[in-house]
Amino acid sequence: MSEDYVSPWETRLGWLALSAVVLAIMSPVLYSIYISFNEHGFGAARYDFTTAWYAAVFEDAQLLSALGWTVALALATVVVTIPFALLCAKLFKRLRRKLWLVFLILMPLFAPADIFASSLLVFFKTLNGTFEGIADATGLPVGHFFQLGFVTATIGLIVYTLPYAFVVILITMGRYNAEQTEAARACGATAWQAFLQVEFPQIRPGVLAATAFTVILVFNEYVRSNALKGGFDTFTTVLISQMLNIGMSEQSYAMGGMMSLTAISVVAAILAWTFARRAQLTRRAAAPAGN
Amino acid sequence: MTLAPDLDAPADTAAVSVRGLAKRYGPVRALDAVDLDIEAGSYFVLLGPSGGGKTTLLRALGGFIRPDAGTVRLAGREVQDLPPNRRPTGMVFQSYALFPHMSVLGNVAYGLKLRRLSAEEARARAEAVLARVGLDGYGERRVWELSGGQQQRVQLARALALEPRILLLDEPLAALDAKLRKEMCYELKHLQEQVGITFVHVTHNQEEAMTVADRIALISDGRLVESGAPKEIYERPRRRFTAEFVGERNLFDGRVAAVEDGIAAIETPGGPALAPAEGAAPGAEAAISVRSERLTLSREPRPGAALRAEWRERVYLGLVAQHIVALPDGRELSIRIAPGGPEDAGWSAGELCHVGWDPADARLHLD
Repeated sequence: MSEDYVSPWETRLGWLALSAVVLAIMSPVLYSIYISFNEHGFGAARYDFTTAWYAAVFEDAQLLSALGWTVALALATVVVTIPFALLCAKLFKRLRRKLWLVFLILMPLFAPADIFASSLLVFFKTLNGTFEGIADATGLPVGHFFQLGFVTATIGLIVYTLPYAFVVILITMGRYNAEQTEAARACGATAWQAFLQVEFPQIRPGVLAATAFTVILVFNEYVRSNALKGGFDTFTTVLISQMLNIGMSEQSYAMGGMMSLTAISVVAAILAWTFARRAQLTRRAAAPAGN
Repeated sequence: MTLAPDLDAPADTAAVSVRGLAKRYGPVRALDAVDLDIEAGSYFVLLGPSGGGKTTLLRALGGFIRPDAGTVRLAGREVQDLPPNRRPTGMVFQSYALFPHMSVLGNVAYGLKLRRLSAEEARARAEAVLARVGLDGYGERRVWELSGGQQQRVQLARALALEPRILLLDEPLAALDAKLRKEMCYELKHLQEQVGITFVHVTHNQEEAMTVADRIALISDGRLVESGAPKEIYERPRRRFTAEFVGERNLFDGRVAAVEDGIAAIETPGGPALAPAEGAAPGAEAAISVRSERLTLSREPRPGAALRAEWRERVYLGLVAQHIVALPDGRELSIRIAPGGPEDAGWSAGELCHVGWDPADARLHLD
């Protein structure tokens, strides 16, 4: 139906309501960022701007180690999740019976985080016992394969992030015309050349968005990381454990602020890039063309 | 030098030779034991209704569909197991399928670069082909800046730049408006005559097929119904399906009542319908078809085949006027006559009329 007869006030009210909802959701986050820049911390009557709490985060060896592990986890997860999500999305486009694939890939989203984390924990403990048994019996160096640590945490995070990455890539891929791949093949390209030179450049925004989303998810994840990480800490597990054990310190607010600002910046950058690209395409499309 | 792969076959070999080609999609038989030969250097059209299997056949030639059975020989070489990039074919798609992240020149030079031509040589060849399709100076444009007709030309240039032995065109003009489609038909025909390679063109549009084709094959229900020169297909269709699908023909189904002096008669409620017997014997199930422009309309019966009918309506179509009449059983016939003549005017609904034709203009179909 045409929008010609919709009152402009209806649209304005819609935007107002949406802004109010977003503000309500974001206000605790914005407030904690506000506190993180106060020299006197939470609840103080005075407000003096400082970046000292952020500096303190970077002077703390434990936090820096946690940051390092988190970055490593994010990288390892991205390296596996993104190509796998890409393959799943390509398989989805090719399959006739798509429902089963969607069901299988999205299933992890419908299991509560703590249930999923504890299930994986039990699974890896059992697997670890089996591998230790194999190592004892055969002398093969496989006993440590599934000890809780970086590998188990990465696997947990891959299972967690894959559905999200799949959906983001699939949305971008939905706009790709598969006949372009056939056209490239008809021009002499192998299947791999057609993908790399024709399809990938067009779905790249989706792949980048999925990568950014995966990194954010890994940085934000607590339940699975905490259950499967073994002997190291991640940024979020340190933050949560500080909150639970010693309460929110100014440093905690700074850590929370860093994570929130990073996530918001990534999303804002993707949005800005998308809008800029759309504006560029619109300008080009509007350029005069002959017959 | 030619750039298409696998080109060691002699030039006089049939460009396309298909034997027993079959393809099923579950219970649907998309191709059913199709045999087809296409002469090298000809413009060949696969014509048929949607879902008839013509695009499946074209895609099997291009290597985009693996047949369940049968062989495909292109330029003398068996290729049914080869991927598209190893066949001597180029392809033009209905949806254009241009690469939007490349310029016009980038699109045309894409395959040339894959063939490892130097950047300068690829550019020179791409520009030459663009000029040939009327897009000289468009190389630096983005593809979305072009109109539909221009995009189709870029696609043609991209395919022709590789100098394939056979160019496959899948409903190439379907997305264009009627006027542009007509212009592009002539351009395609002239282009094919200039480059001299084999064009295999899929369409459901008869006019398009008639305009461009040296030969036409009708495909329906996964089968090759009939093939021949456009005039043959239009004027002397062998099969009932062809008579019904191509142009506007009036059909009379029934049993051959009698054969006399080589003329067979099928009884209709308005009288006997006559056509050359073509070897049919009395009692045979058959159909007679007559083109609507071969029928005459009169108030009095004329010599030859003549049926009594009731006049219903007239539709002015510009070059011709179409008259609709009904036989006594209600079956309608269409007659096309020149507007303004004595037979065209003065009719009123329900009036008795006579429809006639020269039996030599009719066709008897035994299938």
